[in-house]
Amino acid sequence: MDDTANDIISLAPIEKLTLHDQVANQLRDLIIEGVLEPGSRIDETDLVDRLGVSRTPFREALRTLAAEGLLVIRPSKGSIVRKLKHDEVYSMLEVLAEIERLGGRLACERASPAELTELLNIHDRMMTLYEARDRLPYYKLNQLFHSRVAMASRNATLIEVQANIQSRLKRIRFVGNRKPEDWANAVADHEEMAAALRVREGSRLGELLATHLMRTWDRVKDSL
Amino acid sequence: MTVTPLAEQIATQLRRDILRGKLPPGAPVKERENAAELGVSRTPMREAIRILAKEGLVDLRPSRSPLVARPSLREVMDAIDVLTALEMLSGQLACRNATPKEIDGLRQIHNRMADIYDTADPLDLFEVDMSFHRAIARASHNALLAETHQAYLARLWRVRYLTASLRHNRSRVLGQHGAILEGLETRAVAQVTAGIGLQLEGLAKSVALVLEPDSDAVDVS
Repeated sequence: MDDTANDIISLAPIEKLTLHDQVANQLRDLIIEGVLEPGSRIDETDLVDRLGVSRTPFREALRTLAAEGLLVIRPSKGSIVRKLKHDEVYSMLEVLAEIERLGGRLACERASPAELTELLNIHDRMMTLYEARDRLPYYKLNQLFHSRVAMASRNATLIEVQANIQSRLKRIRFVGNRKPEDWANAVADHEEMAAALRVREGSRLGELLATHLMRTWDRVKDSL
Repeated sequence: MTVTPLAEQIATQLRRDILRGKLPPGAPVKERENAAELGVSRTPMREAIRILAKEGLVDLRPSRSPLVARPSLREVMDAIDVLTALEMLSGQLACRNATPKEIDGLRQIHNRMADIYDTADPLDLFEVDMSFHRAIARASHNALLAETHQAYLARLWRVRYLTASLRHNRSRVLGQHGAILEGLETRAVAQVTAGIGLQLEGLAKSVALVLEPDSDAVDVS
């Protein structure tokens, strides 16, 4: 599990990843950062050329991103970056809030001391990145924090549902930290979560996570 | 994946075979034999098996027949915790968002269940029962919630059927559904979630009675 943490801050030896994983990771970042805009067509020829890969791993990567809900593959018409509608995003956040509420409660009951330390460590690194206003690495650690809380619930179904919804919301949550005051508010939420986690106050952590995700809606709704 | 109506029909039949124990947990689902028995060709049979695999009812194995899933008690309890969260949220949102037409639809399902409760085949009754829960999820007006609820309900299909048969009790089941319905009509969130909570607590309590106790230890690989 520790390997994943390192991957996120790009310390993993790159040769460990398959070619298709590397392509998928690069394309995912381009989507998250909005270089490839929602609704825009994927220019396969151009990207294949710029990435210097052949079409087979490129198409495999597209399928991975489609399964994550970031792309829509249209047979014989090319792929487009998925554009989420207002009510789709709201629906996702509403369900994710409940799932993470349960996840937070169970995580406080079930996390091992090592998992707890690791979660707090991720939190501390997020705060350092916030001080430096280093947005993409902060964003990735934030996603990792939410995934790790879900994992600490030790509930396989919950981990699956959480991962599935979180991956579809990737682009929109990056947008949510664009305004300085929104980012500051999200950071304040996270400080409270870390405090609840430290003393294993499960219902409090669950409540904070749910509230945090519904506030995410306020942060992103205008940019949809 | 576009699903043909034939594959969906076959999937329904296979689901019922799993519930009736004709295809018990751990049993291989033989493509050719099942296709011959149902008088269909192997292509839609294969597609139906993929539908069941996606629902978690069968486990695919490379170049061998898939097996009927044999979830451990732990896996089932985990799924019930998640399903409870999803049904509670459905109830809350349905209180706010259900249209009179949707509530009327729920009333019709409830009445039908009352009509057939003493005489129906347990499987038919179970399907009507589950359609009540799915209709509440749809009445939440949260499309992702309805979709997710449907998917995870499908995974718990067999245990839910077995516990429902075990806990067959007209006044309890219809009483709980009636209370949920009344709560939706009067937009009383606490009444709705209390009713849903009772049903799922009942499910969680009786799972151990219907699941093979040694299933944690069984290696199906």
